[in-house]
This record gives sequence, C-alpha cells and structure tokens, in this order.
Amino acid sequence: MPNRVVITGIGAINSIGVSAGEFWTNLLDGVSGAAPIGAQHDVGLKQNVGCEVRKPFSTEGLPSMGRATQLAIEAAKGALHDSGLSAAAIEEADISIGTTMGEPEMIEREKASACIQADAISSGVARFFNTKGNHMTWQTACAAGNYAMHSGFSRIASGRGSVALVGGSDAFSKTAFIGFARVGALSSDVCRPFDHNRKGLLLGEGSGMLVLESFSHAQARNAKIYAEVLGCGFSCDAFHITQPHPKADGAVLAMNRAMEQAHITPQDVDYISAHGTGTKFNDLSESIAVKRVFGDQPVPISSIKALIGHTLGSASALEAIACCLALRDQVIPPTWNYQEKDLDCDIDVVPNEPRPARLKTVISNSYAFGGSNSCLVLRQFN
Amino acid sequence: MNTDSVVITGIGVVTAAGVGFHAFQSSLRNSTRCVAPKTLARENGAVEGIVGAVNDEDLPKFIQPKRHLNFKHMSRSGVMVCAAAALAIKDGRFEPSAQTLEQTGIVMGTGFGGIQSMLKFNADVRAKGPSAVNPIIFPDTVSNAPAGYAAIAFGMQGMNATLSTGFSSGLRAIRVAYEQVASGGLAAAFAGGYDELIPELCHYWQSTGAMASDHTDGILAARPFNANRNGFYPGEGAVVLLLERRSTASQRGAAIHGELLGFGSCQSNQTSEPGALGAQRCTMQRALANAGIKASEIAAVFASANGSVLADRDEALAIASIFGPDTPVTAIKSLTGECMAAAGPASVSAALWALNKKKVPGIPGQAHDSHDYKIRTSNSTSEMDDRNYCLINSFGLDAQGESLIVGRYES
Repeated sequence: MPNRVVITGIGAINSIGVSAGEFWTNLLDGVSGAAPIGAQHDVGLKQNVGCEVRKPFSTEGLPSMGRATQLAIEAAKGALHDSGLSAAAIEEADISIGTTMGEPEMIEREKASACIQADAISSGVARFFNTKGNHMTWQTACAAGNYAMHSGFSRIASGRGSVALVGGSDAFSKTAFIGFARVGALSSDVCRPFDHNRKGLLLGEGSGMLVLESFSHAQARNAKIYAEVLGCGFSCDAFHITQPHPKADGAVLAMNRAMEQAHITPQDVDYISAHGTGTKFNDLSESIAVKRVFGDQPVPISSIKALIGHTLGSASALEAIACCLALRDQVIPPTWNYQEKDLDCDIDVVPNEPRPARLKTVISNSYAFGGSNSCLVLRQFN
Repeated sequence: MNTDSVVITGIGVVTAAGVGFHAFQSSLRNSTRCVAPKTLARENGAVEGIVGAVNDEDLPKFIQPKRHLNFKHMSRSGVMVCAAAALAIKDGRFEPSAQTLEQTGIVMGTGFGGIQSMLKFNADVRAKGPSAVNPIIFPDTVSNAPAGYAAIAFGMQGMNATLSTGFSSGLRAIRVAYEQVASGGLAAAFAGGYDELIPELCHYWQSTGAMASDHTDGILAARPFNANRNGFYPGEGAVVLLLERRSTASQRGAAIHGELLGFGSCQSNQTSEPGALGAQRCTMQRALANAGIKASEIAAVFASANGSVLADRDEALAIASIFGPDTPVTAIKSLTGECMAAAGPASVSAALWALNKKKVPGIPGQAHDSHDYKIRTSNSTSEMDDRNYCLINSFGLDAQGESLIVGRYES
C-alpha cells in the first residue's frame, strides 16, 4: 500500500505576487501581470508585452546564481516557512524542480561557465538550504513542474522519503521571448485563453514551490494540509516537436492515466486547471481532449495564464498552488480576458468571475514542446 | 534473482568509441583510445584540443525520414539521440504493437541539454536581428527536444522525460525508467543520456585548466588514475538502453544483455572541490545495499574517472576503501572522452559486454602504472573472473553521484 502524500506548504512568485497569498488574491481580483517588458528584455520586436516579476525580492547571498535559481529560492522560502517544517526535516528533503530554459542569461551574454549546467536550479536550491536529499532538475519544457511534483510524489508514496521540496522555475529570457515570437505563438497585447480572438501566449516568469510530505509525517507534527496528491499521468503525442496533436490523443491519454492512477473517474472531477496558453493550436487541442474525456459533462475549466502569462517550467507548479487554494477556499479562479466564445472550444471556461463551487477533486493539465503531456490529480484532504 | 526483474534488451551507443554496440565492442576489446585533436569553431574564434567527437556522417541513415521530423535542421544532440534509440531498437529486435508503443516511454538525462542550440540561436539573433532569426533552432534550445524527436521517430507514447543531475544524469535517467518499468507504469522504456561537444564550454574548461592537453613526451594526460594526468578530454555522445520486465522480454523471445539490480546516489553539497571521497563511497555503498550484493561479489568496477586530478584521486580512494586492491577497475572515458551524461550509460553498455565476454577493457595509455591508489587497473583488456556483477559509477563536477549495479543474465 503506497504512502499517502499531502501538500503542506506553498510558495509562489510571479508577475502578480511575491507570495502565494498575494498571487491568489490577485488571481481572484483579476489583476494582470502583463505590461511592456523591461529595457533589458526589449529586443525591438513588435511584441513587447510580458509578465515579468517587477517587485523586488531578496537576492541576498545569491550573487552567483542565475535568476531562475533566485526565483526558485524565493518561492521555496515561502513554501518552507508556510509548511512550518523544522530545520532538521528540511535538511532531509529531496529537491525536484522543473524548468524550460534553465539559466539562459549567461548564454545570452556570450559567456559559458559551470552555471549553465542543466541542473543549476536544483543544485543551487539544495546548496542554499543545505539539504542532504537527492536533487534533480526536470528539463521537460513547459510540463516540467508536473514532472518534478510527480518525482517527489513517487519517492514519498513508495516510502523512499518523507519530505520533498518540489516545483518549477523559469526566468524571463530573451531566448524564449524571441523564440515564441518567431514561431508565431506570442500575443502582442493580451492573453485570452480559449477566446475566439486569442492571438497567442504572453511570456511570463516566476516560480512555484510546494512541500510534499507523507501523511504520517504531516500528521505527526500536526501540519496544515492543503490537499492530497493522488497521482500524475504522462504521455507523448509522438507527433510534432512544437504543435499539439490535432485530435489530442496524447492529452487524452495523460488525463486517463492520471485518473487511473488516482483511482477516480471523470465523474469525480470538479475542476480542471487548464494548460490554456492562449495559442490557437493549444487551446483547440486541449478543448478537444476535455470533450473526449468528459463528454457532455460540463466540468469547469480555467486558465490562469490570462493574468500571469506562460511561466514555462513553473506554470504547472503555480497552477497546482492555485488548485490548492481553490480547494481551500472552494472557489474557482476564472479565465480572465474572455470576450467571445470560440465554437471550437465549447467548454465551460469560467469566464471573468471567480465561481464558488463544491470542489473535492481537481486535475491540472500541463503540456510541452516535444509533445509531452501531463495531468496532476489533487484532492481535498479529509 | 527476482522473478520479474528489469532487464536490458537493447543497447544503442553513439560515442567517439563507436556508433552501434558492435563498433563499440571492438573499441572495448582492443582498449582503443578514440580521442583525437580537433579544432572546434566558436562564435568568436576557435578552440583546439583533444576531444572525443562522434563521427556523425552516418547517423541520419539509422532513422527513417518521417513527417514532422527534419534531420537537416535538428540539433546534433537530437540526431545522436534518435540514432542511439534506433540502434537500441535494432539491437533489441524491438517490434512493438500499437498497444505496446502506447506504453513505451523514454527517459533521458543530460548535463548541458540544449545549451549549444541556445548559443547558436543567440549568435543568430546577434547576426540577423531578432525578427529574422531562424525559428527552427528554437525548439532545440529546450533540453527535452531530443527525447521528443525520438518519440516522433519511433512512435513512443508513454512518459517522455528529460532530467538533469549534472554528469550523473544518464544513470539517474536509467533509474527513473527502471522505476517506471518495475512498477508497471511503462511496458518498455528507452533510457540513457546525451550531451554534445560545446566549443564554448571546452573553451571555458581550457581556461580553467580542467581540460587536458597531452604531455610533450607522448604520455596521455587524460589517462584516468595515472600519476601524470592533468585533466580530461571532452567528448560527446548519446547512449540509449531498452529496459523491459524480464517476463515481457522472455515472452517476446528477446535476447537479454543483463539485469539492473541496484542504484545508489549521494551528494556532498560542495562545489569547491570536484568529487568528495565521502559522498562517492556513500554512493557505491548505497548501490550495493540496494542490490543486496556484497563488494566481494563485484567482478569489476567501471569508474567515472576521466583524468581529473582531484576527482580521480577521490574516486580511487573510495573504490579502494570498499573493494580493496584486487577487484579490477576500469574507466572507459579513456576511450570515449568525457561524454558527460552519456558516459554513465556508455559504461553500463561496456559492463554488459564485459560480463558476457568475461573481459575487462583496459585503460590505454603509457606502458607503466605510477599511481599509488591501491586499486587494480590494467593498460589493456584483461580476463574477468566468474563473479556475476559490475558496479558503474557516474560522478559530476558538482559532486552529485550515481552508482548502478548490473548482473549477468542467466536464463
């Protein structure tokens, strides 16, 4: 019998909040992080809107670390503080962090050093907190946060660890900004997931970190529990390096596998946190997947990327945090900026207004370049 | 032996020491040093040094062209991973049904991922401007592109993951894939590591003194464990192993190379000194404990050593403290160069060859040994005794290490 795994701490930093609390309040209030990008990132393209972290945060003692590592450390501080874990318990934690771009700043500045090693973020976080557990960086593009959370979940469920610090981090990078612009995926003004007039994604940055614990470990210290992790499903489209499968075969497989691992059925799902990037292809494919899995059952689905942009490897971690808080407060964060229904995306996108709902079980989709699909299942803890 | 252990049924090797398991075996049999002087072009200038470069001329011929799979524009890492996967499929005579493909995944480890593509992309931005940069390079800046290409090439619809723990990533990826196969999450998994030569990184290593240059008297500088070593030769490669449950492999009549028996990992949290004796010893001991095997049962140790002054010393002392002076120790980076995340899986491939042929590849180089680490190394390929297991190490610059134990398969 696998150990039950629960979430006992959350920490977030992104364009609309430098704490999980601020992020959540602004998600419900519709505060957008989109604005003209800073001079250091503006490369003179016609698109110049992004979702950067503009509020200062402490980088004391982190001068040699890249920004993605600094963001991850900031979010991790929040998550660990929130969890109330002892210093001794933190020391034993495994660390698993997802990222898309890693630390591209050095490359953009024409320099190569040890800082660019692909595991820079997790090793930097492990060094900062002086943890003795395993650390690993998941380079699974925009689904990397879900991979990282699953990695911590698996270790605890199988009894190989009691505590894990998991999540994702990506810093705003010129490489990603130019790259998304050049593949035609970048909006020049607003991100409108699932909307008929959606024009693409907005690039964001940030980090979401979560503390996972075995239930027995959490119970022994009487910890506050946000949610239970029931499982995570993965698949690959095996179709195209950047475009989703037109019939969404892979996304359907991932959701079905997640529900199978969680021992639930589509009828049990009360809310879907969408990948919902705001691109034509992604939102269409995800809508098709949801229709195929849930049929005519109108499960509410929303995308928080309308406000914080696509934070790449941290997106699924930030979305998991939003799910935790939705379960706590029994309210669904809406899809903001929604104006006109796309008849090809015939799903309940919870437009423009938070919706109180009885939420017990939620799933969170996350997809990536390389055709990688993932789906995380969380349940209200009882 | 477990009734349903995880076995290796296919090996795909793309390194300087051979493309394909057959060619690789020839290098092992003859302990052939496959590094050579080369000039690598950088955006600003060039770097000259001795490196283990893959002969990439023939790589595309291993993969059938397919819709949405364009080798012309694919990164070197992408081509190497696709070729390695194709070779593993061929070696394993893997002809999966549509149902099996749905449950077949790929887990790759990488030390530097898409860095070379990111450098190229940014150089292109500087040369042409952001609105004219070739968008086709962009997907390759993301480290999971090679695994994505392999999935497209061969139709694998299961978990598609890429991870990094530094140089030890290849062995960690095998461990993650092992867990997926053992738990039934995947019916079959392709697992291994990749990294390509990055001229900019070689330049950096040269400037820090980490990269070796041969001594003027002809002594090889990057000879692992040798007293005259002065650094490593950078290499590259992709190595992909096919993992299946023993029952599945037997059912389809697959030839089994060997069995995965145990894993260990440890880290020292220190970056000031590459490699730490304590962490390395702990890594190997954890692998032995995990496999339930005594040190005395190990037929040979495939070390991570690459010619680095401190890291080799630490590893030698750690090995000596566990295995004593009589267990054969080898290090195939003397053949391939330091091929980073591909090195661990390449060593696993070498260990499987060694167990099946009862031979231990040597560490080629000068005619005499002059180290005093009290471990048993040999210049040339030697006989292996009847013990059934090999231990493989993979340690990185940041002292996070991984050890793995494979066993000879007996039906």
